[in-house]
Amino acid sequence: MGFLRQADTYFGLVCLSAGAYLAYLGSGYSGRAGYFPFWLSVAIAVCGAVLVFQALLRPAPKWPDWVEIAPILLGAFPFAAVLSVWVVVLTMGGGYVLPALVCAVALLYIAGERGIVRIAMISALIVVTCYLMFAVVFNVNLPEIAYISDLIRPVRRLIH
Amino acid sequence: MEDTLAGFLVLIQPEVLLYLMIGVVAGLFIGAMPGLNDNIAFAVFIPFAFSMDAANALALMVGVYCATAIGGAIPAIVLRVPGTASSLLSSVDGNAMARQGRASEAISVAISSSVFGGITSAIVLIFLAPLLAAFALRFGPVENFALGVLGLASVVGMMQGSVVKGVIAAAFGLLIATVGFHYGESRYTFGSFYLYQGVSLVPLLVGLFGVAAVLELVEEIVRDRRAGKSIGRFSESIKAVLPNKAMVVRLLPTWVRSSVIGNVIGVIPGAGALIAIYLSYDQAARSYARKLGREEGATKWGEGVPEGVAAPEAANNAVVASSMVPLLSLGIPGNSVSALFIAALEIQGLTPGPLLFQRSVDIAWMIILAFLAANILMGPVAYLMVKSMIRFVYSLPKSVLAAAIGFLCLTGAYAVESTILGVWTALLFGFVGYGFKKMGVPIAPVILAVILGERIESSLFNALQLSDGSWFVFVNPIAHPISAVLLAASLFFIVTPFIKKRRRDAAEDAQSVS
Repeated sequence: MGFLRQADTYFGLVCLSAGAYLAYLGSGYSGRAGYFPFWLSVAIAVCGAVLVFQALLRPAPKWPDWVEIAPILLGAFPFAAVLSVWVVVLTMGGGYVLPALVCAVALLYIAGERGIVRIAMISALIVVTCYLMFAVVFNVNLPEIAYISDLIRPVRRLIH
Repeated sequence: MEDTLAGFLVLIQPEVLLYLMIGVVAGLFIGAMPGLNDNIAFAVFIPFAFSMDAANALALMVGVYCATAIGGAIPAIVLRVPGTASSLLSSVDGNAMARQGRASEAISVAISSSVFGGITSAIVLIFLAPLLAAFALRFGPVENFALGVLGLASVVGMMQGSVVKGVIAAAFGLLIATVGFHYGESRYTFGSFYLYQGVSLVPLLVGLFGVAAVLELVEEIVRDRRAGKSIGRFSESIKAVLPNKAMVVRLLPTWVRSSVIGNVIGVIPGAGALIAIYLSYDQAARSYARKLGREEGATKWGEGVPEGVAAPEAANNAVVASSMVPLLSLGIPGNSVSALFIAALEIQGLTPGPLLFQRSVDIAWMIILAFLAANILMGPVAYLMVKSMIRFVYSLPKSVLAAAIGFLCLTGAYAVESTILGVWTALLFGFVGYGFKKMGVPIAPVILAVILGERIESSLFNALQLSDGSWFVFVNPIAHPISAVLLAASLFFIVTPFIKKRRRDAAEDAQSVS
């Protein structure tokens, strides 16, 4: 059962199933439109099957230990989750600056910053710089709550 | 000549030169920061190009692209922590020199070698890109299809590791390119109106390079913290000194050899800087062993030999401009950074490839000349800034960088089309890119396939229509010799890694038996 300990097995299975599903969708497109999507999906499915087969032939590796997994579970995953939460709030009309401030605090903590004052100051600096650069200097209409939009409107008018 | 002059006149505008200078300075600092590289720099800078004048934006990009390679050598030499992947080998002899108290000499060798390599590649770009572009205008759908296949095959074939994963990456990229309303059908839009125009290139690139790199950076921070590692403060005062005449004479053969290797590899789409660096490093080691290594009391290779710094630095900068040759002339990116350059051009409404030399000849020549100017500027700027760069490298915590780049990438993805879909695209492809890296799936074929996908698909159908559905048209050596040669080269690129692997396995088996 050594192949179950290999990431390639799972990646191969994902490719196999996703390729099969996309090929099924691709087969529904008529004539020329379906040709490329169908055969590309088939290629992905076949490559996925090859990966699983290769994993079956390989000697069994050890399960990855905590030292290897911890940076992913304690670093990359929570960081990605916080960024996702920010994008969800942004999508739902929660505005840019305030949710970004809260998320920046969480991101800095995950990335190893400690000390409330230091984290708060760095968060404010990052978010305000980012917001002013895009909203004021590059004149991008960032999604923002009315109060903050009104606050920076005179500055934008002054520059542009 | 008139075209070159038009480009020169655009370049010498004070504003354009200023942006080029800003790009050079920013590139030096970005390259010097461990964890940041030219891909991330581009991912962050591309959305800025949206609100800038074309000449200014492209000059900024050229400056960043040229200078990041040289900046990466600084932490590689001082700390043995390469700022960019391309300065990996410079850290071996460079850091050995630093530990012997010769850090200033090592940095000087790195800067002068980078400038030499960079200028040669800019000259190659000046002469080769317009010639290839004029030739490429003769390409019909058959040749265009074969060229697209060659671009993909060269990237997939030259990838380190599994070719199967390279094929998955290329097929995934081509599938992304099929999303949207094409040939009278909406493909893979899942009923979403936003996907009718396809997946936006810039948010996709920002995600695959920027967001994925941020997640890797955070992973690295946590790993280092758990291992109790931290980058120590560096107290030695370092200033770069101009190499003396004897050193220049000694290094000249290494510079020439490495620059030739870098330029040849750079022109091949997908070959990448790392291959050039390893080849030139290997050649320099052999040459050193033949000439200087046998002398009594000579420093051992890897223990502080200036050629060990000069070879990789000259090669990595030689790749920079020469990788733009296929992009500017054929519309095929030479590596992942030049793929990002396509996004910058598209934002400005410019089409990379032979048409760029017809429709926007002044901008095409401005870009080419900017590479030369950036490399000339880079030397003095790097010499002057070494001290402050070293101070800067140790003052900015990686945690702050990770958070700042995360917000810059996602805000930039929004700015490109002012839709929240751009942010979701960047986030989603950031996760995909991170997952691919963990699985050992290369990112470069994905990017190249997304960029070439539409061209490959439309060329294929147009060619088949013209040939009444005959596939022989692509390999017909009489009617379409260019296509036949390009497809043969594609086959060579795909098959070579398998043959090499077979030979390696056979050699290992023979060794284990004996």
